Amino acid sequence: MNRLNSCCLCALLLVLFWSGCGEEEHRSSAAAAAQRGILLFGNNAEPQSLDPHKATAVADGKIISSLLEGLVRPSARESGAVHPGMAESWERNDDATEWRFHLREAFWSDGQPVTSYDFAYAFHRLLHPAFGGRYAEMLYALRGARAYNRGEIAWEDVQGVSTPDARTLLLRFENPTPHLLQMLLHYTWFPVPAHRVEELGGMLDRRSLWTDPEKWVGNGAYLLQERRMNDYLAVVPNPHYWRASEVRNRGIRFLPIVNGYTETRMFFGGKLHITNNVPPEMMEMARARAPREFCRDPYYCTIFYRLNTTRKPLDDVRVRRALSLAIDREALVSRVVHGAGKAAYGFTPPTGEYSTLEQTTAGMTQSEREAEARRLLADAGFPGGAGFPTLELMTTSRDVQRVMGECIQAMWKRVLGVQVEIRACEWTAYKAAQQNGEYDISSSSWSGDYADPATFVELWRSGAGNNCTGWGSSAFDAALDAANACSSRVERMRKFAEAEQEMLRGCPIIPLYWSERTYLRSSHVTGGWYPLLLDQHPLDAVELRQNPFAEP
Amino acid sequence: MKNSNASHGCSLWQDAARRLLRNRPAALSGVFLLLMVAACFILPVFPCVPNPNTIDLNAIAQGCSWQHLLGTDHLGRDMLARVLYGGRISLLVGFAATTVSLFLGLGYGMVSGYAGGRVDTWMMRAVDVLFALPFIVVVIVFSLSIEEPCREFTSWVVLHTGWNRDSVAPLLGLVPLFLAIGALGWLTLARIVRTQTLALREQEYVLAARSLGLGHCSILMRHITPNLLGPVIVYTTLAVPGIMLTESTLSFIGLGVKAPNSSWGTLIKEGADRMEIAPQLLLYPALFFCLTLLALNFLGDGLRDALDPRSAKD
Repeated sequence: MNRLNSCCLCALLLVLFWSGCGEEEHRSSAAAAAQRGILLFGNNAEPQSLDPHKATAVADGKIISSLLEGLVRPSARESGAVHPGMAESWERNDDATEWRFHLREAFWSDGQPVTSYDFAYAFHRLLHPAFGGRYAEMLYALRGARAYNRGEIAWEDVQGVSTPDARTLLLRFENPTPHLLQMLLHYTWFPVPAHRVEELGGMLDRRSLWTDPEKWVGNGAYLLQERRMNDYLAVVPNPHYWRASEVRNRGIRFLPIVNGYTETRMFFGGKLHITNNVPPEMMEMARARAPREFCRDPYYCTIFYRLNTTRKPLDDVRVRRALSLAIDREALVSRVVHGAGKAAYGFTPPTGEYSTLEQTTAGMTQSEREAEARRLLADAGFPGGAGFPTLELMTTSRDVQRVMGECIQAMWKRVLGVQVEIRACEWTAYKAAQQNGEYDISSSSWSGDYADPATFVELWRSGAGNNCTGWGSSAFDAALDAANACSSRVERMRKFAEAEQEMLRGCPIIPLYWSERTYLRSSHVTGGWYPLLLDQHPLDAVELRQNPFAEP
Repeated sequence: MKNSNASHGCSLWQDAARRLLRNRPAALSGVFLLLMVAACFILPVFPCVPNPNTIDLNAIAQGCSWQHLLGTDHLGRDMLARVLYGGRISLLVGFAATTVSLFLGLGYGMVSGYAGGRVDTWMMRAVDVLFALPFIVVVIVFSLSIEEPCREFTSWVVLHTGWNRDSVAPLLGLVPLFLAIGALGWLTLARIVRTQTLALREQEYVLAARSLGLGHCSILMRHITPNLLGPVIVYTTLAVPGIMLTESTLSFIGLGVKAPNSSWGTLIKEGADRMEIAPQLLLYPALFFCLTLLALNFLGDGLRDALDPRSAKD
């Protein structure tokens, strides 16, 4: 009887296995969604918040950008290029310190008009010292914003934002900001429905329910329809949107799939149209299996480790530098990342006009770097790792990060004799621990919000919301201020590079590599998707067709 | 003298052993399990088995060779060594946690069932209350709360015995895990034991023993326990696989085995992610795991038949 049972079990397992392998039957899901015009979008993680003043993660930003619209909106074809959004037109003065935006006649989804007051209200809310917005420094360029955010002056004295009338918004800046339009694509510059936020708890209520699907009011291309934790978030076109007739699809489902292996498998099982990321190990397989669907785009993104400089022994710059030097980045990129990136010896990804590498050790071979690392660690009082406490490396549960962690763990043990434990956290727990500084080493990534080194270098200003390392240097802050004050582009880049050098010497982070974006895009997606360096795809432009190879 | 020998020849245990050996699948399973335990705990001591955590980025996901008998994993670590070390942890957690829950469940259920009446009612309501708590959540809270004392214990052991920290820490680090699983996994067993005991204590031979003046303890040991062994052993052998699975769940959320060390559960998880690229990474740990579970099931089955005192003596 028992033998029979186990035979049955084996047979059942085999059947399950083979049915899992069959893919054509399951293709229907993506095809059916394409027929209904619903885009199935792999979005990496469950959003922390849909409130543009509380969100900091890339996954949150993608959803928010489809629900709210700022003064300008991104181009689908060219990274960093903008189209008029809520602002119909704008003008600026010669040195780009004063911008005047003329708003179009547009409405929130409850029928109320979108006014310049909504923008001013949103900026006020994010900058309010009692609100504690993590991303407040995005608005620091506004005149008086930083002082207000630090509680030094009253909102009435902030000169950066003024609203001459309901349809005009005047922004004044401390320094020349020729790249303002690109910055405006980021959700921290979006308006919020002031009347709605006031109604549901007021400006400073961090737990306000205005982002609940039933209560949602927005001005973007889509409306929040349904949210199921760890399952999906569905949006439908917003009938009040000013370009409602130009929205190319009939809704989006954002699927929070952290595991890239699962996501890739779901794509081949016909459950997704666009994935967030193909794990490096699966690239060869994905390319061979779906050469037309596999995409490998350049990306403005750095993978790095944050070091908690408030904890011993990481408060010693020699220890931090030793940890950084002991990592063989070339091996990491070629073997673990499988070439989908470039070894990083600086923080900001190099672009045509900007590039900076850690100066003091540039040009060293890996064995020289390792010798230097051992020397530094011995100097710091831990020769050969003796007496060095066991540190904890915090990663998300993403597999690439864990594999990389294990690899670096082994490198540190081999080169320095340093013991590190890996703690893989679920995404929200990881974010919370990082923001509260409850970690030793945190596996992190940062992708640029606009095509300017400021989006990377500004991160490390003392006390900045996304710094999270406890590191700060007045010399670095002064260098940043000097860079921001430049009006010439070339000079600006040079000054930013100097500032970054200062930061790299302080070593609050360990840059690992500059990543590329590898993902899969189904052939059901027939238009509106082009490779973009900043990955700010306007999802309302995405066109779907059920049978992509048939003539329309 | 001869007489006593003859009566010993028919003792419960010898009889059971004879019947077990005659049951071919069960006996084979037992041998297989012994070999498996020996392989996992003794083989890695020999220098010919490489260090399971040595990363070789120039030999990623390779097939079988003389150097790596089962090939290498996605970071170039020797697969055989990883499977053996993983088995060490999985088996240890499985058996240790089961032992903890076995003693708790057996004692609790027996006392409850034998005492009967109000004591029984209250003891079983307490079990109901514990049953209502979500198992995984309680295990997490419990193992977190005893993690710190256990870590201090590890340091103490390393300090006083002078053993290599690398070899001791992964095993001692599991103590909170199997204490937590064991301390909460006895509930079902307590219920089974209690029901059996309720029926057994009404049997004539128990009455006879009692009327002959035997104490409660002796009755429990001599008459109740042997009759309980059948269901208990079957339940235990079936519980080991479940506990091994719980262990892999907890390891996955970071409470069990910490990387780079691995258990079969984490190895299977890693392999499952890469099954299109390198199916052998899934195949080997899954094979070891499945065979062990299957053997445990066969052995449990055989032991039940062998230990049943009611089955005809032949």
